[in-house]
Amino acid sequence: MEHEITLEHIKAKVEEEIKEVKNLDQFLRLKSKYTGKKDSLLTTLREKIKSGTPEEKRLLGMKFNEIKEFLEEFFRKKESEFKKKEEKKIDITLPGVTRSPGKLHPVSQIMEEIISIFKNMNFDIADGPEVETDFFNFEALNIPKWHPARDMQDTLYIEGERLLRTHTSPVQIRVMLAKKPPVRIIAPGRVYRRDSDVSHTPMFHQVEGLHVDKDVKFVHLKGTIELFLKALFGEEIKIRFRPSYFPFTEPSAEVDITCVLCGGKGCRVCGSGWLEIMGCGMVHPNVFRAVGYPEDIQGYAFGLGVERLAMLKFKINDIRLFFENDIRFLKQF
Amino acid sequence: MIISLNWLKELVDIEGIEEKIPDALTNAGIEVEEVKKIKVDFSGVITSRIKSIKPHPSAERLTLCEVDTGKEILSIVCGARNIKEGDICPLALPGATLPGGIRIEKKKIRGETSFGMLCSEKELGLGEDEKGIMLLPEDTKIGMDLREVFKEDTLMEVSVTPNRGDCLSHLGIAREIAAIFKRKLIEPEILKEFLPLEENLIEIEENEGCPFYLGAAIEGVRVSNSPLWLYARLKSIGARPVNNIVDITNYVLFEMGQPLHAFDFEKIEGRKIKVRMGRKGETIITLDHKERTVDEEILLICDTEKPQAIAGIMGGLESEVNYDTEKIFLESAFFSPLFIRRGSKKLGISSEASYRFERGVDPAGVEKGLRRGLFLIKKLLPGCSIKGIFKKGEIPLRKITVFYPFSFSEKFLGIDIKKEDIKEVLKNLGFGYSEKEDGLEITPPSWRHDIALKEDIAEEIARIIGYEKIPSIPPSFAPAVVKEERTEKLKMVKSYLNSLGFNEGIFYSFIGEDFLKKTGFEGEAVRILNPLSKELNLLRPLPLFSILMGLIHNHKQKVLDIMLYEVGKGFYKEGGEIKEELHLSGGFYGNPVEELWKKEGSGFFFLKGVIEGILSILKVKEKRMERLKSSLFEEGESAKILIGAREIGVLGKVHPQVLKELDVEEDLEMFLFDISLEPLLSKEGEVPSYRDFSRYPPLLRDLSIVLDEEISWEEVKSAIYEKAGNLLEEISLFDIYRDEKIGRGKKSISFHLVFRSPDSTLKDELVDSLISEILSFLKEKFGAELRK
Repeated sequence: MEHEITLEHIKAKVEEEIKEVKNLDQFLRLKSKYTGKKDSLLTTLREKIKSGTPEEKRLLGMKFNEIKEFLEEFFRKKESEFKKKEEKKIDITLPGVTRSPGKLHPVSQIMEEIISIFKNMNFDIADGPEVETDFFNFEALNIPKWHPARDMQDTLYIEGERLLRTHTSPVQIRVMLAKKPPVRIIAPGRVYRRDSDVSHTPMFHQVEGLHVDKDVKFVHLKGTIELFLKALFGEEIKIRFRPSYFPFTEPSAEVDITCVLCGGKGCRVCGSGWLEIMGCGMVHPNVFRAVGYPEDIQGYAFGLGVERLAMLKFKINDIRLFFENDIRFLKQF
Repeated sequence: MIISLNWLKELVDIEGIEEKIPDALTNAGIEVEEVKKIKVDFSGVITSRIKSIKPHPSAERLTLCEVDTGKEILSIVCGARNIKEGDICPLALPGATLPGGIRIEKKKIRGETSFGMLCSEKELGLGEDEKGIMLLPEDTKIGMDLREVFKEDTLMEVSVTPNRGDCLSHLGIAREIAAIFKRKLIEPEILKEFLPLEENLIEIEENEGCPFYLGAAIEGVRVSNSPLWLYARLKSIGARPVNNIVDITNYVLFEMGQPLHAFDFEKIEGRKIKVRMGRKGETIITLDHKERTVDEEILLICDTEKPQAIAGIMGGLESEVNYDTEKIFLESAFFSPLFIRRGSKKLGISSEASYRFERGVDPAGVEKGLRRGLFLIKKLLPGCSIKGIFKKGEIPLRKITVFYPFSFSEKFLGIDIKKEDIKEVLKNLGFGYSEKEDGLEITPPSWRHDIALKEDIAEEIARIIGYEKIPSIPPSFAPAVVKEERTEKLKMVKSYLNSLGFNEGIFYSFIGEDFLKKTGFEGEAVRILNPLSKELNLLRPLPLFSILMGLIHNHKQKVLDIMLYEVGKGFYKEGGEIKEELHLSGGFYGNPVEELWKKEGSGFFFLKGVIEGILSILKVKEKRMERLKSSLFEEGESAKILIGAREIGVLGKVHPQVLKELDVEEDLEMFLFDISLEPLLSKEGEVPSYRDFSRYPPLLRDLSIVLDEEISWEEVKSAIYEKAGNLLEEISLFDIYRDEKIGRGKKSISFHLVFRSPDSTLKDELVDSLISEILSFLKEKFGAELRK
């Protein structure tokens, strides 16, 4: 008598056999052995049903359906498991395919930082030409012809009695000629001097500032500059105002900060522990006269060199690197 | 300018404050850039005279000297070659110590005993000269301890701003110190003897250039080397001693700031001094042995025949004081700063004298300076006789008073300063004043040309009490009303380019003429009159040329690929005017985007895409591209960008010929673009208004048509739009294909069409009939066939 086939037997058997299966191929063979269209367990069982009595047929049929359902469900589940195992894995350490973003020029980065600080203090941004006249660059700023202060700025001259502005200060004049007080602006931009060595290039960037009204005083100049420098360099720096001379301001001051590299102890870069960072002062009455402002207007102006700040911040030792535009330099910032 | 603390001591009492002086000066606006301590680190060194020099019997390179110490004659072995019999030299005696702890002893050198050592400047730590033995002035007393003259000192390198000509001397600095520390100033001793002033010798033709001229005639002068104290003093501040008379003039200049000039009076033709402007073609040989051609803008000191000095700038060689001079004429004058500066610039000569005259000397110091010089000459040469002082013109004293309201300190500086403090500062600085009810009527001292306004007085007060004493108050800021649209737009464009992988560059606005020519540029660039080099002699017409230069620089550095852009100005001429305009230029070579080189023209289309992106950020809609003819680009792969009829930019592939000219391999594929930003940024930002969009489903159709190569996509597209009407929502190109089956000179283009109705669901039949209308229109217009 043939050993009776029960669902339990088949369950046990197929679960035993599946343990031996290592890959999708073997799995498909096993699946075909049980549920294939030819010579499988299911086809054999189906054949058996045909040969029985009507009563046997009914019982066997029910059993067959049970077994079929179980096996189909069993192999469906297992198949997706094996397929998953067969999927290829990519090398996730290969480089990403988008190009890495480019950078703003280091000078632009510092410039943006400065501009955003002053924008937060509600300074407007003003602009002016780089090719200037003697009037805007010198005369109106209280630097008449033959004034020794012209030695402070070696000028590049252009045909047609023009020159390249040696500072952003002419923007002050242009703004005041165009607008009545109060005025509160900064003017960032390129300036030019006839100079070239490790710390000088014939072109560099300045940010000029001007704030005039009826009651803008020297104490406000100090307050604004201190606020700005602390925003840029941090709360902990010390700031020193030192009397100096600019023809377009009176009183004038140079502003020093404690060296950001050595913390004010004195190093190769600063020497004394102080770094000269910007110039400023109260606008000279002759400048107001040149733009036709009334007598009771007063205010301050300041100016700073952007490359110098960028050199300090990024520890760059040769200013000429900024304008060579070697990609190996530009990428670093 | 170098200031010696030892010298200062003679002019102001600085006892106990020596160490504080550098910082105090800096804080008062006279910047001390460097402080150098001069040590006298030797002992047992005396002055001695070389009596005889003989060769060393057993050493070719050495000599054997007999040296007179005043007490005895010593035998010294010496290796230097610069000495001769009669020279006065420093001698280190046995037992002497030299800097670095070197001890000198009696010693046998190659069999000969040396009773000490003759020293060089360097060995004594007095200077850098180490080649020969230090030679002292010939009149120097021998047997004297060298430390009596060469003393320890502190030297300050002082940077004086152009407005403070009065500080260009030891006296000037002493005045500042006296004011800051409230110390007593010591005026230098001068010749007090009354001498009648005579006018007959001097004639001034140019009053404006020389309002005041003084001179003294001195006879019986014996010109020689200076005594050691004078020699040492000038050397200590880095001046070069010449002879006693010249050294005295320099001494007075560095001490009081008044330049003097001594002429050999016998060389002055007609014994007359004439101050006049130069004449065209006139020449003079100056003290530096150079022939100078002068003109009507150069102020001269002449005799009856010819120029003898360039006034205030440099003396003439002919009347130079030398060892044969017996009679001198000593000049002390006030020359106009403007005249001197103009002359000095024109001739390219800057001297200690011109530097001071340019910045303005003290008019009241002209006579004092002369009398100081006379005092020193008398002191050095008691036998000479002063024949008279001659004068022409008037002392150009400024008659100026400044009213300073007491309330001004608060109004302008923001801090109330007490009346008494103001008065004390002014008094210590040498200002005169008279008190009025609400302020002071102030008279600046004669040496302060820079004081004219109440703001100047405010600065004097502020700098003497110290800027650090003035508080800081951040001003209250009313919010700004101006919207910074330009800056914001520019920032967005930059960050778009950055995110595509472009790096920002910043280039000089200059470009070399040669370079520009090689790019095929044919316009006229703006020229710099005094360029630093010929590589920087023009202003660039567009930043594009700088980008090209930058790409080439990187390529020469073997950088494989690079994408660069710059926002900067281009300069050009228009109707004789020089114009400047803001541009955005960029470019690349190499493989900036994966897969870029698979298709012909893809470099161009990448850049075109970039530009379309930029224009879209700047909200420009109506743009067009047309073929461009330019020697910079390959004609087949370049275009100009237009908005309406206005050309706003270019893009294209750099022509191989240009690359060849610029020494780059011709097959390098390099692309450049340029956009003029001005018309785009200044345009008022367009605020988009909402348009309703259809919520009905679209119908999609793909078409492939075959047509002639010359027909552009733009033409096809507008024809389709024209025919399809407003149901056509979008056309997008997805393939261009060419092969032999299609035929030579033909191409197949494939595109999607998206149809959608605003108010209903479209029916297939409607779209199908539109498609056949479109196809027959394309056939009629371009001979286009549906691809089978």
